[in-house]
Amino acid sequence: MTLSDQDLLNAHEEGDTARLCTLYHQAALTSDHIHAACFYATHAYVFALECDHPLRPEIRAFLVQHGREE
Amino acid sequence: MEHLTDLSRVKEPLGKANGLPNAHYIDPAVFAEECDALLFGQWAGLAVAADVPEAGDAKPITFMGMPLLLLRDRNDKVRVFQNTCRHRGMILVEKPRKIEGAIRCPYHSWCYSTEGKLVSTPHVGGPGQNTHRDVDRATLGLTEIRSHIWRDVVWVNVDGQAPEFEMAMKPVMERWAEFERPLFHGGADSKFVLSVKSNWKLAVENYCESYHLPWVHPGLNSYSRLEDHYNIEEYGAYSGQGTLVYRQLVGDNGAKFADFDDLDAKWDTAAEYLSVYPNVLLGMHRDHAFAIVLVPNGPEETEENIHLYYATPETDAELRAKNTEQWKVVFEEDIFVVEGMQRGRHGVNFDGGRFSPVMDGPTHCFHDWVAGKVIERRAISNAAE
Repeated sequence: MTLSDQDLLNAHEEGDTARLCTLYHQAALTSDHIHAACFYATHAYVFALECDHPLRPEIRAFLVQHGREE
Repeated sequence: MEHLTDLSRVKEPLGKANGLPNAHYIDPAVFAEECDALLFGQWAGLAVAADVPEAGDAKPITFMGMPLLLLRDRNDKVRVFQNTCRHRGMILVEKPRKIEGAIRCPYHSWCYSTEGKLVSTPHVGGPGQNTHRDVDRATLGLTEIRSHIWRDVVWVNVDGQAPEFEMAMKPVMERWAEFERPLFHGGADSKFVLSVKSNWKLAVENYCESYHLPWVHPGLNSYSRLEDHYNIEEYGAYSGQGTLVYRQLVGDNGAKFADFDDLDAKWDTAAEYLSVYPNVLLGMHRDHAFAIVLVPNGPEETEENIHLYYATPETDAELRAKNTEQWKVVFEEDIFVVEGMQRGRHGVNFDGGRFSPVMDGPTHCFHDWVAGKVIERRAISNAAE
């Protein structure tokens, strides 16, 4: 799956942070490059924090593993 | 150094004193001086805990121009933060809402826990790199404002220099020690806001004296006459009035509110109304209480936030609505007075006025406190120059 601009815009428009989290998480999982993956995971993590999403620990672990988060 | 106003006449004894000069009600420079001396430097009322009833509830409040955030954290503790991101100073929360997880700054998405800890700094070290050795999150949490809850009022000491709350408020806490009972906010039908074109101090002054009751509240006076009231004057702390003829509200079906437990028999017919300096007005009766938090929005604008409380979590809805309405009528009757006194203070020859040596003690007590705190603050400023 790739990140759909329209899905993303819709989720932003609706302030749907849970959806933003899952969209960015999916984008991170399907990225070809670790830098892109960490970029998307960063966004997924922020929205996971904001809405207390169940994916939060998993995303954080990913970022920590790659030296991107404390 | 020349001071903004001469307060020497205000510090005279009641029978000789003048009230505060006009500038204390209309001059932005004095308003700013009083902000430091009377509000940020003391324990001032900001809101009530019932404004944020559930964990995660957040309410932004502008207090004397300062953006604050009232928040009930994940562990049910009510906190007050500066509503300002530690990164670029952006306002964090624009309107009341529930914080589900973290507070995310809408600008660059730095995130804070409900306890104020900085928990995320996205891209701070470059794209996808969320840490940097120069950004120590442990030192960049939200700025917490010293706060304390008493009688459900959230009191704040913005400058952090006031004595401990229990020490600062000891006189009034001792006076009403027997009312240290659980208070239950009546809910949505037991709160209302009045906006008045008046300096906040005039609301304090009008509230603490009974002299005006027969003229301004004729309905109240039909059963609670002037001679049934007594003055309350605790110099340096609070002032107010009491009545000896309080009558419980009775519903059409004969219902009454439950009493607070274990009160002295004198409260069967007594009630008291205190202006707790600087800006909180409290009322206490055998069966209900209220708190009015005055939020100044400028030298000549004040928001009065009124909340009613009961001794039990469940109360008769009809009776509760009737009680709210009864108090609303009384407080609305006072609006023309505080707004009229405000306009009167644009009369350049008004000298602060003179007091009744018998009836105006509570007002003089407040003016004496204001003058004392302003003079103290001026002395500190002078010493620093």
